[in-house]
Amino acid sequence: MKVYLAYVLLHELGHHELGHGSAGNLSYENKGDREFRQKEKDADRYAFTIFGKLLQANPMVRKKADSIIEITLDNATQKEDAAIAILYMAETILLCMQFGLSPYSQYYSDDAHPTYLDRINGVAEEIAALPDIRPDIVAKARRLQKTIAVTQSLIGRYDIAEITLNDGILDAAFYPEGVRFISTKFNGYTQIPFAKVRQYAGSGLWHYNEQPADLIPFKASLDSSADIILFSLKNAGTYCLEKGTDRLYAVEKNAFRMLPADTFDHAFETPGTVVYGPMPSPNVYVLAGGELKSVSAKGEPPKHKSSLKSQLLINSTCLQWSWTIFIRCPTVIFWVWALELSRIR
Amino acid sequence: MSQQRDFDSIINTIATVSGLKQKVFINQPFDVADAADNGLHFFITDHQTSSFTNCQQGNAVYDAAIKAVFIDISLLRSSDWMSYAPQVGFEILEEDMPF
Repeated sequence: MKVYLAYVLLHELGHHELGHGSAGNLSYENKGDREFRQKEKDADRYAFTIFGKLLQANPMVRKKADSIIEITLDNATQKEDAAIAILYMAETILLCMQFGLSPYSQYYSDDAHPTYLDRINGVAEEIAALPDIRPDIVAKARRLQKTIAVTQSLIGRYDIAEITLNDGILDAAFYPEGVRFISTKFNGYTQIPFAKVRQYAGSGLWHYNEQPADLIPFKASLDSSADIILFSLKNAGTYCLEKGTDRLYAVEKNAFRMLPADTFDHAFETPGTVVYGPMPSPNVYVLAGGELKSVSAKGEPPKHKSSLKSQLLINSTCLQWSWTIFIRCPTVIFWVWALELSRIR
Repeated sequence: MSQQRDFDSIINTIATVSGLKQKVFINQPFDVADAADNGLHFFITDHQTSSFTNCQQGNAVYDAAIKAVFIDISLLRSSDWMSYAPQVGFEILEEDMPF
């Protein structure tokens, strides 16, 4: 059972059965109509209610819900069955908004549609307030609300940028002015300067969709089966280490340039693996021969100039400016926390 | 084909469970000559036709004027995940995909 697909179809069926006018699960032309928000809520409620019946009618869905939300369905009343179905669906929807292929995320909102976080929080609140319902179900609803609250709070605590990529990614690393990704196609890297990221009007959310020009092809001396890891050194650039080897490359325009073995103050040993280093820092930590070593660039690192746009962007916000990058692509979601950009000012 | 089967199966199931009285048509053209064609139509669409359907990528819309639900094909494409996942070492069973 495709839960998210079923939910979306039920939501639209709700608009039909409730005699609404034309409407969408998410954005739609008829924005600004105040009645729309209530109609959307009603369609959500319809979808959740019918899904409860669907759960009862389908033993497979029921079994899966049981395992996912870790609540046994034995001896549950009809009301409790419905509550469990709703919680199951709500958790699945959050998962789908975060990891699905849709360009919409759980943070998306418009005039007619609150964010999915708000939509789901509302039903979780109703479940938690139901009389005569098992305490473990109420506790589950409260836990879901806590998850939602934490997710919502990210927008207040960080500048979150959603970057939607066209392909899956093998790895990602910050460089001083932006972030770079290696795609699963292994045909180059995608470079997105922070200056390109734009803010949704009226929200704290920034977004960017990868454009073809963002892909910088390289003549890789790596083959597509190579197991790599990216890391960045503060003011020194982005590097690629082939896992299990001492082969190290500088990520440069159009090429991965192989570096001499003495590039860093500690040579990589075999098998060398960078265990930490997604953010630019003065050094990275390398697991080599079972020992954790700090590795830093030799000599005076080259100075990077940040763009005027980046400077303005940073200065217009706050002193300790941080970014959280929320990358949405077909394969992997990376939450890369709190890159402190204050050093660029 | 499995996507189409999933789609048909879900629509028929939710139509039954919701007690929908009208006939359901899945990816079938409107037949104005058929008086019985007063049911609810479901169409899988592509966002390239959004100027007509108002259905953008990743979305679904209900068009009350023609009693039709348009659903973007990307919502059915769990197989894309299946092809990417092994590259990053994930083992995912299609039946476990909730999308």
